[in-house]
Formats: sequence, structure tokens, C-alpha cells
Amino acid sequence: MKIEQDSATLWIRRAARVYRLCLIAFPKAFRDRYGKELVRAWHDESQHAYRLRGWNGMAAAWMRMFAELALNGPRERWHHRFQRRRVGTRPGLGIGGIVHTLLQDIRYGFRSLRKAPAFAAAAIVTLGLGIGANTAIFSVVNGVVLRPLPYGDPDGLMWMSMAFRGHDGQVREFVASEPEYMELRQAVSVTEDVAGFWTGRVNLGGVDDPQRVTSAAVSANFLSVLRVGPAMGRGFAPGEDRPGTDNVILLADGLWRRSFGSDPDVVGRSVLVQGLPATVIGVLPPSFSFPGGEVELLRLNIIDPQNLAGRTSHYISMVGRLSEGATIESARVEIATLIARWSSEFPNRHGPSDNHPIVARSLHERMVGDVRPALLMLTGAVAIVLLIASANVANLMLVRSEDRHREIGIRNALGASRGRLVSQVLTESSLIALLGGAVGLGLAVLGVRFLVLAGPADLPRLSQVRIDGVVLSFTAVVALTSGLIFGMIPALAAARSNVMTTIKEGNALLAGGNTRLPMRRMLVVGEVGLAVVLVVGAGLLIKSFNQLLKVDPGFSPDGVVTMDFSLNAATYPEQSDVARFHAELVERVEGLDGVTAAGAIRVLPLRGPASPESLTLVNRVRAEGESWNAQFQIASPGYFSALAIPLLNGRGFNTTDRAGSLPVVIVNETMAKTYWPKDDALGKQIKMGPASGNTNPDMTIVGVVGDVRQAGLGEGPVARIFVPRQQGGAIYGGFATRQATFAVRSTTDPIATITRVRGVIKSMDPNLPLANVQTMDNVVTRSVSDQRFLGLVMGVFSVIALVLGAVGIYGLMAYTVARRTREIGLRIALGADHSRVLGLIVKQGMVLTLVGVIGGVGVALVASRVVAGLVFEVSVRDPVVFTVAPLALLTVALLAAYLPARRAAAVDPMEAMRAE
Amino acid sequence: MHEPKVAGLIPLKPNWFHILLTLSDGDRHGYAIMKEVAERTSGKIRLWPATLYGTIRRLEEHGLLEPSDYRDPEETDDERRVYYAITAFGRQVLAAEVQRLEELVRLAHTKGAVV
Repeated sequence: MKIEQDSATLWIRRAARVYRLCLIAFPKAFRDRYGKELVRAWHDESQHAYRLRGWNGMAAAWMRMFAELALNGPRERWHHRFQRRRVGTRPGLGIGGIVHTLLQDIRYGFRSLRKAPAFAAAAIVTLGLGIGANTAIFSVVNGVVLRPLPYGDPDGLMWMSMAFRGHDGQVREFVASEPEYMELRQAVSVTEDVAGFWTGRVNLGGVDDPQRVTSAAVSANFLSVLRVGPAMGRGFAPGEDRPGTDNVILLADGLWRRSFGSDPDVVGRSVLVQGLPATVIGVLPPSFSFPGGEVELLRLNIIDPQNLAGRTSHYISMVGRLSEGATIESARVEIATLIARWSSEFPNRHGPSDNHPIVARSLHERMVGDVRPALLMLTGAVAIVLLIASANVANLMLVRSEDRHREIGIRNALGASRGRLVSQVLTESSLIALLGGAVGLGLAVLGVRFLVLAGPADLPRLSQVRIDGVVLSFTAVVALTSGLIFGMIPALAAARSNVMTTIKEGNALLAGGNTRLPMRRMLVVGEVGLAVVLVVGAGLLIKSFNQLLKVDPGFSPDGVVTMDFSLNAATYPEQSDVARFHAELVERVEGLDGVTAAGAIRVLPLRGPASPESLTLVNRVRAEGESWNAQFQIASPGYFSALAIPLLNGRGFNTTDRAGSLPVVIVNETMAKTYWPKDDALGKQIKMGPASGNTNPDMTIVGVVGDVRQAGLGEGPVARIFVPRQQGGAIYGGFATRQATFAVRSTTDPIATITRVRGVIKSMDPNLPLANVQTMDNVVTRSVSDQRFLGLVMGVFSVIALVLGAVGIYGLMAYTVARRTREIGLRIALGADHSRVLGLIVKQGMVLTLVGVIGGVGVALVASRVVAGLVFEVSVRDPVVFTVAPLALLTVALLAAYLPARRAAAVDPMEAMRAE
Repeated sequence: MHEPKVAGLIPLKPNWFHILLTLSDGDRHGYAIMKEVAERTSGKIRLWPATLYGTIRRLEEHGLLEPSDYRDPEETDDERRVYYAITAFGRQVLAAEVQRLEELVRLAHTKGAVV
């Protein structure tokens, strides 16, 4: 905490420096009078915001203060000018005079832009690209990270979960059991209340199109903890989540529109949820977003306080509402006391080796914490794109100001004040900035549409990303700031211009030694360097994505189709009904033409981790500190062949592994190697749950299968056990076997297979809705959508950077050639051959590029650390990437320098000498 | 003597009103004004620094407030903090504005608009 605070102080100080610099927006008199106080207030406000709302609060306050500074600066300047005119130091008078002057400047700006359409178009498009990319990414950052969660007083919400240390020593977050949840509600006094929920899909019937919808079973206090009210009808009443109450549900706005046709009389309507009648009591507002993923229907999680489920049955996620003035820190202290009590009361479950501590963190952190590093990296990347774009435009403006040097000198001589000249240049750059901003906004609208479509589906709150007032102000500030930055250089140049030298300069014989060239070279070197950094970043991410695709998932997705369904307790009351349905389904599907295998699994690979469970190894003494656990799956006999998961030892499941027969289990390779490193796992016995007081049956290991990547392709080895479907219900409770993903391998076209399997299911149960109907290839593709997205977006940015860098080099070289036409003509006339002239110009361009590339590689070596957490099996100093990226830059630069060089080599000496 | 000038400043802009009101019972520095206005209005009116000092500049120009020599003994003294005091003219203007508001409220009551 202390370190956090120190780094906050450090950042406040750094940002204050920027803020102080930005005070340049105010007139000098104002700065002298109030500047120090402004900076002091900035410090105070930043600290205040940080104390109140942490980093997010501070960032929001900064944005407000910068935006507000950008608005007030020009206002003060305006006032300053007005005052000075009023006291009569200048001619031209009153407010009318200023408006007149300003309009004149704007007209002049437009006219001069129209006279140089190529310059105007290049500057506006370049800037538009930079601003567009920034606006698009900022709208994602704004929607996902910055905008407060759509709940009342969202800062008072806290996510709580149990932590679970796996056999590999990694701590994973985990859900709570009913007794744990109920005791936590009682024990933590700094919370007003704690809501519990679990999510899944339910079958929704009694509507036109029976379907499987995402749902959450919540405690009755859920909406009051979030401080969200329904848009229509009522929320759940206290105590409604006890046994014996009516079955009531709330609809999310989307489901209400889609499946109920926005029916205004929907409240009171009766539908079927999991085959049981339920009454709609309300509709949630459109802004509602569920804290743990997308949810379309809320129902109640019925808990009987007199008859709680066991401590080993974990299924509840928790969100707590802190009391007024309480902090997460104070909640953690109380939680620690509770855990200490549990570990003495239940040494077996919360003992020193298992412990199961409770993790409490802010809900905002939990919802967006994981995506923050990636978004930060993208923000950095677009900032680089904008810097390159600004450098390019500054370069263009410098060229222009040199071209107009004489014009400005003459206007100066004719009596135009310096202020007036500067304000004209600044008006012109502001015009470019605003037009660039408009182009950028257009690009951003397209960009946001693309990002929302292509963005990974699990990016939280992606649907809320849009261009709103905050984004628009951001664009305006970015546009005007960049306009100010790239306009300042030529403006200062204009202010310094001296009548005599500018007029004389026109007669200079050899114009090669221009005073502003060093500045322009530096800009180009900077551009190239920044482009290298971006290309390296993109290269690392793209390579990482390729590495990920090369991973062997442990199964073969070719020709496999999958679908989810859940058998209602109303239609299939007994486990034997469920078993009969599955047996018939497999038999009929395997009878289809081309189908080679079919089977069901509880959690399909690459669709997320299976649930972790404690285990007991029968006839083994647990060593000190050793923890026994594995992820738990329920599989049917055909599953392993359907996914072509290799059987390494022993046998697979068969139809004789049924309820009542000898309990058997299959383990994966990691499990066998972890717990029986020297022995054969076959024939060993395990049981679910911790050792003491365990009444679960001993299960005999009959087979060992290959490892499969379950949570994602990048996942490390995890111990996993598979229980046969027909025995799973007895061990794990009926609901575990009711829902399943069905996988079918066939040699025919997957789409045709899907249609035929659907047909079979429909003929068996016309009301059974299917969800996630897709090919296994699609499952694999979706599992890497985050990485693909990052690689793609970074790739686009680095291409933009490459193009802009090349344009910068081209512009500079073309300009140099044009300025040196006479000199080059002279050289050719004196006998220099064409290839030497060509070489001379290309060399000049390449030297600049090389300096930029070397600098860029140096920066990239340091900066690439920011992608360390985002890449998979790629070193952040990957030699291939660090070779290819600079080479790409050098190649593009070679082309960009060659074109003007060729023109130089073609100079006709006679023409060149005559030109001036 | 100030009469015509007072009338020219009424009605007061909300920011002006809140700053003058804040200073009416004691001198304060800029950030303290910011905080007090935010607290008193439950965050409905927030004066961010640049707006605040822009407004202070205008108020000073119109002679409604002025820098003060007062230092808050409890505050760690920071030379960057400048304290401001409401001027006698500022009080007149504030009083005139309050009177205007009172008249408006009375008017609304007599019309029965507010129960």
C-alpha cells in the first residue's frame, strides 16, 4: 500500500510537470498571477482523487483538469487580447474588431490551405490517421476501464472469492460453498450485505422459440447490493430466496426485446425455466451489465438456511457492498479473523495446507483488471502513432513556412505585427488540426465498429464501447494539442523572421545549407525510431500468436462438431432418465453416415477450466505441505474417441461403467506423473474430497489419457480426473450430469453433421434447446481471439507507422532534392555521373534512417518489457523480431529515399542553372 | 455610489455566487474554495482549477474579491497558497443577489407554484 502511494505521488509530480507546461495555453499575465496556485490546486486535487478512488479516480480527475485547462486557456487569451485592445494599445477595436480579425485569419487560413491542396490533404489525412486511431482506442479504454460500473456507488462494491492452491502451487480464485457464504455474510461487519450468485445457461420455454439463455441464480439481495432497480416491475423481495416461495424471474433488456417483442405487459407473464413454470416479475434497465459475464435472465438461488449444502460443494460467487466509510482493507482484516476461526473449526478444509483463504478486491478491479495491461499497451501504441503523425505534419509545416518565408518577411515589412503573424500560422495549424480531427473522428467511428465486432468476446463491457461526449472531448483535446505542438515550431519560426535576411535569402546561390534542416532531420529520425518500437511490439505479439497456434491442444479438432444442452429436471426427473437419453442419443448419432464417434463432456476443452476439487489418495499418507487436488470432469464412453484424445494406458470407459457397478476413474498424464511419479497409476484408488470423515466411494483408476489444454492453449499442465457419466451423478450431484457438451466426430461436412445431429435431438425431445452449436475448429479459434485481436490491432498500427515514417523520409528527401537542384545540376555539369548523385541522395536518407533505427531498437529493447505479460513463449528480446523489424524499416526507407534520388539523378544541368 | 455597478452584475453567475458565498464567512485559498463548493452542493457544482482561477480573475477585476494576508494556522504553510477575501463591494453584490433570489422564491410561493 505504501509503495502504491509512493508511486502515486511520483506520478502526480510527473503529471504536474506536464500540467505546468500546458499552462502555456494561458496568457503570460495570467500565468504569472495564478500559475503557482493552479499547480498547487492540481496537486491537491490529484491526491484527493487518489485517496478517494485510487488510480482510476486520479486518471479521471486528470482528464477533467486537462480538458478544462484546454477550454479555459483560449478563453483567457481571448479576454487578454480584448482587454489590451480596450485600453487602446492596439488599433482595431472592441469585440467586433477581434471577431473580424479572427474571421480574417480563418479565411486566410482556408485560402492558403486551398492554394496548397496537396499539402493540406497530406497533413489532414496524416493527422486524421493518428487522431482516429487514438479516438478509437480511447473509446474502448473509456467504455471498458474508465466509465464507472453501471451500479449505484460502484466504488463501494467488492468482489469476494475463495482462493485455492493447486497441486502446481498456483493460487486460483474459486467459488464459495453455502455455509461459507452464509457465515461470511454474518462475520464481515463492514459490509452492508453480501450477494451470492452463480451463472450458467437455462432452458427458456413458454416463448415462441424455446432457447438456452445465459442466466444467473442470485440471492434475493442481489439488486439491492448493486443498487440497481428494475426498469419495469419489481426486483426480488427479501427472503424470496428461501424454499417454498414462488418461482420468479427478471429479464435483461436484450432478452425482453428479442424474445418477448418488448411486450409492455410482460410483468406477470408465465414462462418455463428448466421446464418449470416461472413468473416474470420485472425487466432490468438497458444499462445493466452483469458483474461476471453476459446474463440475460435472473432467477433466485434458493438456499435453505436450516439445511445448507456441504462445505465441499462450492458454487457461489460473491459481491459485497461496503458500509459507508469502510474500506476493502478493513474487510480483509475481518476476513482474516474468520479464516482463522475456520481453520480451527474445520482443520480438514481450511487447515494450513488447504487453507482456502478469501480474496477480497474491488469489483472494478475484478471486472477490468485482466484487460488493463493490453489496453495500456494499445494506448501507448496509438500515442506513438499520433507522435509520428504530428512529427510528419510539423515537417510539412516547416517546409511550407520556408516556402512562405519571403511572403511572411514582406508582410512583416509592411507592418504586420509579430503577434498577428504568429496567430495566422497558429490559426492555420488549428484549422488543420480540426479538419484532421474531423477525419479522425470519421475513421474512429469505423474503427470502433470494427473493434466492437472483432474484439474478443470475453472483453468485459465491450458492448458499451461507443463514441460519447467524453470521447468527443478527448478527440478535441488531442486534436488541438497536437495542432498546438506541430504549429508551434513554424509559428516561432515566423515570429523570429527578420525582414532583411528573408528577402536576401531568396537570392542565396546554394540553398542547401538551410537553417531549419537539422530540426527536420531530427523529426524524421524520431519518426523512424518510434516506428521501429511499434513494429517490434507488433512483431512480438504476432510471433506469440503463431507460437500459440503451434501448440498441440492434445486433441484433434478436425471434423468435430459440438453443442451444449441441459436436461430439465421436470422432463427427466431421475438420473436413469438422463442416462437413457444419452445412451439413445449416442446410439442414434453413431448410426448416422460418416459419424465415427460421439460422446459428452462436462466442460469442453478450451472453453474454460473444469472445477478444481480436493482429493484423497487411498492408502497414502499425505506429506507435510502436499496438497491433493485435480480438476474434475464427467465424460461419456465415446468422448475420448470423439476428440481423438489418446489413451496412453489401461482402458477407456464403456457401457458397463454404470451406477451401481465398481466406481472407476480415468486420469490424465499429468495426474499420473504428479501423484505416482515412479509407479503405475493403473489400479490405484482415489476418492473425491478431503481425507477425514469422507464417505465418498473409492474409485479405481482404469486408464490414463493424454493431457488436453483445457483453460486455453497457453495453459500449463494440470492434473485432471474423468468420471464416467453414469457414475458422476452419484458422486457429484444430479445437476452435474444434466448439462453436457456433446461432441461428434464425422468424416462428412461439419455443417451437414450439425443439421443431422440437430434432427436426431429434435426427434427425441422437440423442446430441448441447444446452445454453442459450433465446430471444434471454431472453439480453438475463439480461444485465441484475444491474442489474434491484439496482434491484428498492433499490426495495423505498425503498418500505419511504417507508412507515415516512409512518407516522412520521402518528404524530407524530395524537399532536399528540390532545394539542391542547382547544386546537383552544377555537380552533374562538372562531371559527376548519375549513379553517384543517386547514391549521394540515397545515402543521406539511409543515414538518417539508420540513426533512427538504432535509437528505436535501443528504446524497443527497454520498452518491450511492457508486452512481457502478453506474449506466449516468445522472449521480449526475440532476435528474429529484433532483426526483421529494423530490416522492414530500412527497406521501406530505401524505397522512400530512392524515388527522390532518381529525380535528382535525372536533373538536366542546363535547366537547373537557368531555374533561379 | 456602487449602486449602478451592483445592478450590472445581477443576476450572478452560479460560479460567482458560490465563490462569494464561500468567502462570506472567512478567507480561504483556492483549493479550499473548490472543496467547500463541491461539499456544499454535494458535488453538483465542481470548480476545476482552471475554471476556478479564471473566475477568481474576473471577480478580482470587478472588485468583488481581493488577495488577503490571512494564513490558516492549521494548514502547513505553503507559499504557493494565496488566500482570498470578499470585498465590501462583493458583500453588497452577494446581498443583492440573495435578495433577488428571495424575491423569486416569494413570488413562486404567492403564485402557489410550490406547496
